[in-house]
Amino acid sequence: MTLLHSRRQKEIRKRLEGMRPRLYRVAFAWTHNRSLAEDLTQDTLVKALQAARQLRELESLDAWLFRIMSNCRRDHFRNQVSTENVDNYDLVDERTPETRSSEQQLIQKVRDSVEALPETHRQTLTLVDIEGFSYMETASILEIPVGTVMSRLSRARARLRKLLATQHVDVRGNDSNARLRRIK
Amino acid sequence: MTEMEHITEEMLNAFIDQELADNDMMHVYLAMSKDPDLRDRVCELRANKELLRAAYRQVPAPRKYQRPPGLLPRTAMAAGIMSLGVGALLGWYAHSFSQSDNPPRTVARAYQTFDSKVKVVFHVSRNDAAAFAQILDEAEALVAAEDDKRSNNSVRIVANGDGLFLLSAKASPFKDRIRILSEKYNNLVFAGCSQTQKRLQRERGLSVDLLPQVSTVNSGVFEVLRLQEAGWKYIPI
Repeated sequence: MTLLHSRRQKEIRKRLEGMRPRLYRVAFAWTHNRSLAEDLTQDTLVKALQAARQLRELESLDAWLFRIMSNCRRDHFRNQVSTENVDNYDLVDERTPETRSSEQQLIQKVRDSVEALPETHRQTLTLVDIEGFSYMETASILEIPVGTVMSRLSRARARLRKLLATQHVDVRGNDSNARLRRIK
Repeated sequence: MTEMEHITEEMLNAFIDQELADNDMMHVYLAMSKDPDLRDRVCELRANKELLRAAYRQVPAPRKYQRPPGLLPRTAMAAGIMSLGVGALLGWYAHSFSQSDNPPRTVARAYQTFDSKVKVVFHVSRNDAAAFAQILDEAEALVAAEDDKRSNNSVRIVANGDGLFLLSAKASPFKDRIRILSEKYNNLVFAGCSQTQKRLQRERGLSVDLLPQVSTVNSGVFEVLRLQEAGWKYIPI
């Protein structure tokens, strides 16, 4: 009987599908584009299914999946140079002044600032802050040394701080538009 | 000299991420107790981290998976899982019959249990002539199924990577078979990846012209994904 029918393979398939929202969230943080994030997520899951036999320990599935996604992103970038398709971009800003509350404005400012970061810094920052990966795991996903993770993270946060300041976001509560000190 | 000067930015970042060793953590705590500026800096770093997390807690829903109004989220999710599950099952099934010594139950026969018309995309990414020959048999069985009123079955064979050589005008060992199949069945389409063509030209200096019966798609992978999204069953080899 092939591995297909094994309990382990079933478990992997189940967990792969369960990972879709997390992959999509990070893919969106990397690309800030729904279509690209969808394609990146789907491409990652297809490749993961094809390579599932290579996975030795289920415990490492999360980092393994994000490593596949990082490689997919790299490949996509490489191909993007000559085949950029405007259909991949959101050309219409669906936001209107009426629908944008101060919280939504704040979220958009943060996302704009993250989007302005260099790609490598953005990937490192989002893996640590959004997904909560450790430095070791992030290094493994991006296939870089831990020291590089630390330096990228430090520079990314310093840059983000400046970008947020230019967007008039003050996390100490001086921003009249942003109400950060809310208690649920 | 302030305490902050003894502590690098990287240490501070590692501190808020709880990545420092116990000794270093204590060192930062002690420094913070003496230096209000350092406390402010740590506070700001933590706040920015929280802010970033909050900004992506709810991201725009994927367009392709957005559910129609009224449909429960779990229903949509279950449909997605079933779709992926069926695709995966067939994919693994295709792998299993190509590797087994036993006479395989064919994909076409497996589909005889279904009443509806079927759409299948075979994704050929390896230059494996034996597996490809079996795929052609399966594809023909599917598109030729007229007796049981399933003649509208559609099959696409999309090649990229080394699989492209199987559709090459010069190198393919299946030139005649592909020509005959294409002439006989309108519902069987062959497609090759132009990205792979460009890559082979760029990296290996190879110019791979495709057979005249083979259409070209910009990206084989994205063509396969597009078809999957449109409900096609996916079988990789």
